[in-house]
Amino acid sequence: MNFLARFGAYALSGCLPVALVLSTDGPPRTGPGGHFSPAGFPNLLLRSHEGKEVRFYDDLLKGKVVVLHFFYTRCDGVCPQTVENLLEVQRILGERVGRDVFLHSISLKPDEDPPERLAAYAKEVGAGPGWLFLTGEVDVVERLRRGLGFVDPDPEVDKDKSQHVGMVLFGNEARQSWVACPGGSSPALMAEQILWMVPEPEERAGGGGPTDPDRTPILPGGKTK
Amino acid sequence: MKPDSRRYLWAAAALAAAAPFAGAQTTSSQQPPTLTQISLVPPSVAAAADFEPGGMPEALAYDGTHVWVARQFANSVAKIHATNGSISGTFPVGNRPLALAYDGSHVWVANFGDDNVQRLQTSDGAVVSTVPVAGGPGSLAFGGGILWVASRGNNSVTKIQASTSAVLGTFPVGRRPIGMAIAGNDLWVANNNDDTVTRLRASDGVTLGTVGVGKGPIGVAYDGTRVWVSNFFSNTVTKIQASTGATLATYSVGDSPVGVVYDGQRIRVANSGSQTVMRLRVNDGVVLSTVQTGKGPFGLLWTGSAIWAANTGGDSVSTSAF
Repeated sequence: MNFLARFGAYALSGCLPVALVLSTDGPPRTGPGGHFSPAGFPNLLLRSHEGKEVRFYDDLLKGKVVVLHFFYTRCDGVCPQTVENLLEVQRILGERVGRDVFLHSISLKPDEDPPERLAAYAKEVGAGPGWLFLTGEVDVVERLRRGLGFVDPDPEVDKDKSQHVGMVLFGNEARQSWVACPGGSSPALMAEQILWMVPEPEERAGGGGPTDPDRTPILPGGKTK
Repeated sequence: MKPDSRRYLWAAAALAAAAPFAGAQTTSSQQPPTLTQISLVPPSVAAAADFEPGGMPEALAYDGTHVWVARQFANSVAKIHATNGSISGTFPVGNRPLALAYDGSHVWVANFGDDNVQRLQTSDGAVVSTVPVAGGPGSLAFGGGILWVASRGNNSVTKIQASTSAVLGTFPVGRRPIGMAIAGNDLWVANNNDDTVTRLRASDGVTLGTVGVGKGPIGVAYDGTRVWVSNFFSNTVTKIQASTGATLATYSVGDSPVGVVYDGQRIRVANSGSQTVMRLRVNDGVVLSTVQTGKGPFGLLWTGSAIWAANTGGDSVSTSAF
């Protein structure tokens, strides 16, 4: 599909390409919260529902096609529908989830959603391998939420977690190509657009992936060498 | 916004236009429970709700007559008659009550969201004292007149004289202390984010040792000579010699074990993922029996004659009492 046709499909589906706005005010910095990636992503520390400590950039984004959204386990607004749709996306993508595509659900209420609760939630909803539910320090999650733009323009609404932004962001970190769409979008369309982000075999083999020297090329049919 | 944040600022307008979407909550099928399940939600409320109500109780305590249940998202504690299952009362407490302990005359509750612990009268749930404890108090243990409080956010335990509510000291432990048990003169603390347990001398809070266990240690129990630790992410329990800190064995249990309790003869483990409670033989860890609970059993309590589990996946308790 060429660019124009793809853009038209975005428009029809309610999804929008989003642009990363990078500042040019100096080199990446290192600090207690973790360093910034070359693309400007913070390398903040999170913890997965599997109990593992992960870095936002190094472990979750770097060189990957990712689907990312914010939620919390007790949400009875947008989250259940979004998670339900992502489950359908997971079903459509099958084994590609965890291999070509990675899903990241970050809790907006880390105090309510420790790893054990996220683990129980992941089991309850039926999330499979390649889908991480994440929590962290309150300020870290807030920094991520704001930095990634999951912010309501009305400050009062933005304070109310029950009215949180229900978008799903997906993209290819190596290409710096990103799309956002409502969590209630068609799972089939989401899956289709997510797959557009997955690099072609020749790109994986060294054409466009600048970030992961250890990445094993994936041959047609999903086999690795 | 901090200057650093601009380095990774996205085109927020595309995202901020989202509107909330209503949707039905996902539910999973359950096997019929073997233990009797007692709902903590009035039938009228339960019938009106279009999803499972969420008090999500984690903690239990027993005062000799009643079982107390901390309903963390209802900001209340419920009092249930231990022999007939009737709910004697529900009493407001602080924000997110996560832990309970009985000190021989009063029930203590740890309010995670308020950074305090409260001492309640057992007769009417009235708060007789409130003691500030920083760092998100989320676990309690009582023994020898002392209430121990573990604070998940600042990696410490606080020692309180139960009779006077006086704070006697605060001592460092590992990261995210989440479960405790008193073993003789020592306090054992599960450090959930370090995959260790810390042994402290109860008299002065001095750390006597740290023992590596499985992934995500969460529950701790003492059987008279050994300390048992449930490892949430390893699906195991670790058996440790209390006198030496030596690891004696690790046994597989169910999915996502949480609460662990000694019933005088056996060790019982609540498997939150399997929705079961297992009974293990202490000398070799053989699983003698498994019973079904409600959704997400978390805290476990042994009253001397019955097992009780707090079902954090909903708003109920399961019990073998009747």
